[in-house]
Amino acid sequence: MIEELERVRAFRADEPPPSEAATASAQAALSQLIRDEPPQNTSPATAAPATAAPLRQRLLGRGGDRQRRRARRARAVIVVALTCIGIVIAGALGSPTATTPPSATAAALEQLARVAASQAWTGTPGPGSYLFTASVSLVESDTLGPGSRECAVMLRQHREIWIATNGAGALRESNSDGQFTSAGDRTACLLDHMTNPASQDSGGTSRFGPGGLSFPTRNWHALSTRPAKLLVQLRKLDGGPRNAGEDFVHIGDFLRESDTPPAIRAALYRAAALIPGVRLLGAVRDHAGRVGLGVAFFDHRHRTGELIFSRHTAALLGEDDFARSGKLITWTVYLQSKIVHTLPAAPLAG
Amino acid sequence: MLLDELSHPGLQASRDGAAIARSLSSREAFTEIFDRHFVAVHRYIARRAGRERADDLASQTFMVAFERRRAYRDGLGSARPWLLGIATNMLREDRRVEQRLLTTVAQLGNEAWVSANGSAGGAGRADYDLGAALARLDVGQRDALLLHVWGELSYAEIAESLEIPIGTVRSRISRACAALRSELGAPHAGGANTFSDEEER
Repeated sequence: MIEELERVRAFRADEPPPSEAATASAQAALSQLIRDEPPQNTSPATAAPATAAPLRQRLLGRGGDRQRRRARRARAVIVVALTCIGIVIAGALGSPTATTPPSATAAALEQLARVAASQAWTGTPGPGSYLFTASVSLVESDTLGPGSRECAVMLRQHREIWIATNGAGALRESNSDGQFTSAGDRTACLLDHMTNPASQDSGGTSRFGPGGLSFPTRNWHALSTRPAKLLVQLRKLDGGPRNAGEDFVHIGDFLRESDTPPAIRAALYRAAALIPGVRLLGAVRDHAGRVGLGVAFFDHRHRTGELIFSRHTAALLGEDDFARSGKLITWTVYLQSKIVHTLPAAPLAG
Repeated sequence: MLLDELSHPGLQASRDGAAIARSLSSREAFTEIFDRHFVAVHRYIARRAGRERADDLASQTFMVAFERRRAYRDGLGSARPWLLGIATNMLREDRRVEQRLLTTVAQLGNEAWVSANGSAGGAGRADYDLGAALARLDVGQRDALLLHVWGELSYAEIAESLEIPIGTVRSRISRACAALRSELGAPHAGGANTFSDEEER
């Protein structure tokens, strides 16, 4: 046995130490993380017990930026339903590589900006009007049952949202194609009498009074059309860590389920081109099968988020979130967006 | 010893344990851990998955460690087993990268051997096959073996690092060596260890 150990010890023994650049880069990434860590409750004993409420759902730990933003916007839903939908695991479309030079990225985003800028703005929804958006996402619903049993289910979430300028509106969500994520989850779910995976967080329709929902901002005129300045404004409005990855999240936040004016949309595309790590993927297919222009943010070599735009309308078609391992963890496709004048019948929430 | 216990006056923390405990209130203290162990963690990953992946994974290892530092157990006097355990888990996600690298190294080695000696085979050929043999090892066995040989961890440290019983570490390394011996045809005549992981748990 000693002989084998010695042979393995000698194998690839000439591997040099990390380069100064790699060390500096890792050091910088860690320092950034250290700076960004929010103040914590330092005593585990005083932390809110995760199992205090049986069957209460909790957010999953990673990849939830987009969903968190969305949850924040529909916070009343969380209060009423006491559920949170987290993030998703799904099959991948493919793995485009980030080999496109930055100039091509800027050119593609500039093209989108021009398309957006040429469009007429229908204006924010007037009295009695709502911006309606229909989307489908793949999400993972994670439930804690009695005895701290976790029951995780992957399901397709169909979402329709109606938002008026004053934040009144409605939200309808339903699930389908639920699947247990593992045999262990199936067992845990069955112990909690959940025999149908799609029944977890089964949604429903809720109506909201003024302020129950919201657009990213109610004061579009205060936003600059100068891309660099706009990025600074987005950080103030949207909050979160002050880094390039979060800037890319802000771009998505101001484009989805929003009545963003064309001039600001154009500025958002140009602002995206200024974010270090944003790369053009070229033609990609979203999870509804539509071909669009993919733009992704890469944290070093790891693609963490991707937005897919229509070449013809510059509209946001879909988005994907990735784990650092490269695994696709959630996706959403936006299927319809229009101004409507009626709301679905539903009880008033909250 | 959990970090919360380190505040007890009768208990003495290791240097790493003390730094990690301090980092709970003074986050910058965690950079001491980086300064002490980054090179070793990077080198371990680089030997397994290549330099390019090591640049990323070593960086991620310390970021994950920082986020999980509250769960650090100061049982062995050094954070290195803990860090290499995190790195090893990350490598598992990159298993195909590692296998590709090891196979490529073996192929390149063989080509070099053929080029230098005019034909394939011969005594030196076995060294070049080592990469391919490592690539074919059961992943649990390879983890234990390479943490021991390349990570320079003791059996007890590997047990802590992988959160498995020390007997399992022994059997995995023993079986890995037996598999290598079988593949490489070394003259050493030791019998294969017959303990399974389950038997030694």
